[in-house]
Amino acid sequence: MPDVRERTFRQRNRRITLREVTDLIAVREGAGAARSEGGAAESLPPDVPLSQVRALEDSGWVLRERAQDATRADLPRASIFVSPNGRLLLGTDRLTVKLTADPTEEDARAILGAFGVRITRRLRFAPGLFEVTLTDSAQGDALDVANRLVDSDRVEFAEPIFREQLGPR
Amino acid sequence: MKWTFRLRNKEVSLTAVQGVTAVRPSAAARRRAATRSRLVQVFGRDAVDTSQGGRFGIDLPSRNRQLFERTGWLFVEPRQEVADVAAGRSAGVETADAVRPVFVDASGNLVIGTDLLTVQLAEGTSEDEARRRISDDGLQLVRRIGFAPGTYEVRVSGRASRPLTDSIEALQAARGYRFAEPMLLQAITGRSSFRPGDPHYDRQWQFRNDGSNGGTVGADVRAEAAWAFTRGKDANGRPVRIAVIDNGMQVRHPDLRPGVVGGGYFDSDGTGTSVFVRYQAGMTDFPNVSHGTFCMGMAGARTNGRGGCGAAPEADLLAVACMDDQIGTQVTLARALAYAADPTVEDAAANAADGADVIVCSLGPNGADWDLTSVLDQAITFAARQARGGRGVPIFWACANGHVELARDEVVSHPDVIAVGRSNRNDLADGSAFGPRLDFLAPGVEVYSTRSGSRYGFDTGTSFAAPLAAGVGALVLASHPTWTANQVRRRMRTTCDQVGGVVYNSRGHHPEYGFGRVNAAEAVK
Repeated sequence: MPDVRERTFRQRNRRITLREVTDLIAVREGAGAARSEGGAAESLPPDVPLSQVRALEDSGWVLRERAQDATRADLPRASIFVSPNGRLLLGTDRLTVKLTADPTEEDARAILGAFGVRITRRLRFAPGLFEVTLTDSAQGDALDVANRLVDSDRVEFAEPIFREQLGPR
Repeated sequence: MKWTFRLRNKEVSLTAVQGVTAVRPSAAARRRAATRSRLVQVFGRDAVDTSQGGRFGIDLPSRNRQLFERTGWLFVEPRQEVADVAAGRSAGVETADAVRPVFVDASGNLVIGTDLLTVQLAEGTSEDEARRRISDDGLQLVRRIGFAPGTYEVRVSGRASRPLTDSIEALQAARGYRFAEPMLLQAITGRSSFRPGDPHYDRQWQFRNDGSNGGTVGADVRAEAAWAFTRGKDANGRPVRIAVIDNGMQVRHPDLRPGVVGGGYFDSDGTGTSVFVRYQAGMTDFPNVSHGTFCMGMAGARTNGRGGCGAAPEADLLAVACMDDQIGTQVTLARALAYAADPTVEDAAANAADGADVIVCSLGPNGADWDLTSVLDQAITFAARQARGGRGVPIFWACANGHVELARDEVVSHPDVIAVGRSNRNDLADGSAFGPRLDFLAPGVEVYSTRSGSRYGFDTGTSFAAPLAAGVGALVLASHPTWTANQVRRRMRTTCDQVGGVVYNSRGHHPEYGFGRVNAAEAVK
C-alpha cells in the first residue's frame, strides 16, 4: 500500500489536493540509469499509469525507497506527488509568485525574502511575476511556502513548480 | 459611389473606392526611390483598407492587391495633384506612367479603370464616318479591331477632360454606337494553383489528395489553390513568422535551415529551472528531436527541390526548444511561449518586432488530463492578446491523441488556444480529443514531412495536424497581415470544410470535427 499524505495548495484560485508519496523519492541518476527498483513503482497509487513512471525513467529519474536511498548525495532529488487525475509530479524547491503590484527588484526581494524565498528570475510577460527559490530560511517545502504567500494581500498568486511529463503528441 | 454602365446590354455596377488611386510609377521614379515606402510617398500615402485596420470602408481584397502590385501598381491615398489626374481633371504627372481610379466589382474583386474603351459604331457606318464620329466625340482612335466589323479601341482624350465614367455614360446614351464599353484591368486568376516541384511532394496527401494513395480525392487542405496567392509572404514580400515550440528540432535540416531565422532553447540546469540560449546560425548544439523536426517541416519546409514542403513554405521559422528530455515544468513552457511572442522577455538584446506571428506547440501529457498553472495561463494570455502590437499571436496546439474529452486538458482548451485534432486521408476524424472546445481538424494520419538526420518519413499524430494548421494560419496572415489572432481563428473556423458526413450544429460545430477540416484556399481569400 502506498504511503501517502494529502497536501493542498491553491492553483488558479482553486484548491488542489495532491497525494504525496512519502516513502518514495525520485533521484535523477541521468541517462542510462537503472529502472526504478521493483517495489518502488508498486508503491505508487494504482491510478498512476506505468507509462508515466517509464517516461520519468527515460529522462533519467529513478524512483527509490526513501529509507533505502543510498545514491550519491549530490544527485538531484525530488518528492513525488500524484494529482487527483493520476498524473505524476516531481516537487521542486521553486515557486511562481505574482505580486499584486509591479515592484522594483529591490522591493520584490524584500517582500519575498520575508517568506524565505529569493528571486531566481523576473518573468517579464506579466507585471510582478517572479520565479523564486526556497532559501535556507524557508519553513517547509514549496507547497508550505506557497500556502503562506497566498495569505498575504501583496500576493496575487503563489504556486509550487512541479516537473511533469511533457512530451510529443 | 456606384458606377453603372452596360456590358453586353446588361447593367453592371462597380463601386468606386473613394480616396484610393492606382498608380503605375514611371521607371525613372522607381530608380530614384530607394524603397517601396519612398516610392509611395511620391504619390501620397499607402492605402490601407479596413480589413487591415485602415480607413477605407471597402475591403481591398489583398489577394487581388498582391497580383496588381506584382505587376507594378501601387494603391495610394493620393496627393491632390495625383487625385486630379485620376478624376480626369488634369492630364498626368511626370512620375507616373498611369494614374487610375479604383473600383470593386460585385464579387469584391479589385478593378482598375483605364482611359480605354471598345466601341462599335452602328451597322453600315463606313470607316471614314467612324473615324470622324470618334474624333467628334473627343476620342482618340488607338486601333481597329479586325475580327469585329466597325469595332475600335479608343482612348478618352489625353487632355484634361471629364471623368471616364461620365464619358462612357455619354457614349452609351449617344446614337450611332452599338456599344461603348470600358476596358478595365482585372485579375484573371481562374483556377490557378501552385504545385511544388519537390520530389516527394506526391507523398504529401495532406496538401493534395488525388486518391492515388488510397484516400479520397480532395481530402486535403486545398493548399495548391492557396499557394497561388501566397506561400507565406505578404504583399510586401515580408515572410510571416511561425514559431514551433517542441522538445527540439534539426535546425540544420536541408529543408528547414533556409527558413530558420531565429529562436533558441531552454537548457535545463537539472534543478527545475532553465537557462535560455539564443539560436545562432550554424550552431551545432541545438536540441535535436525528430518529433520537432517533423512538426517544423509540416509548418514550413521549403519548396526547394528537396523532399516535400510545408504548409507555408516561404514563411520564416523560429525554432524554440525546451525540455529535450520530455520532463519539465510549466514555467519553462510559459517562458518558451512568451519568448516566441516577444523575444525581449528572455533576451534583452532582441527586438520585440522579431517575435512570431503564429505559434504552434505539440507538447503535452500522454493522457487526457493536463492541469493549467497560473504562470502558463499568464503566458498564453500575453501571447494571444498582447503580442504583435496588441493584435495577438494565434496559438495552435495539438490536442490529445486519445478519444478523450478535450475539456480535461486545461491548456489546449484554454479560450485563447486554437485546439487542433487530426483527420485522415478520407476526411474522417481519427479519434483524437473531442468536445465543444475543439476548433478544427487538419490531416495528421500518415502524413509526410522532415525527420532528424536530414531524412523524411511518414507519421501520425495530432502533433502534426497542429503545425499544418499553423502553416495555414500563416498563409491567412500573409493575406491579411494586420489581422488579430481572433480574426485568423474566426476565418479558419468559418472556412473549414464540414466533412465527415455528420450533422454540424447551428454554430457549424461538431464535437468530433470542430468546425470541420481546414481549407487553406478559402481561408486565404
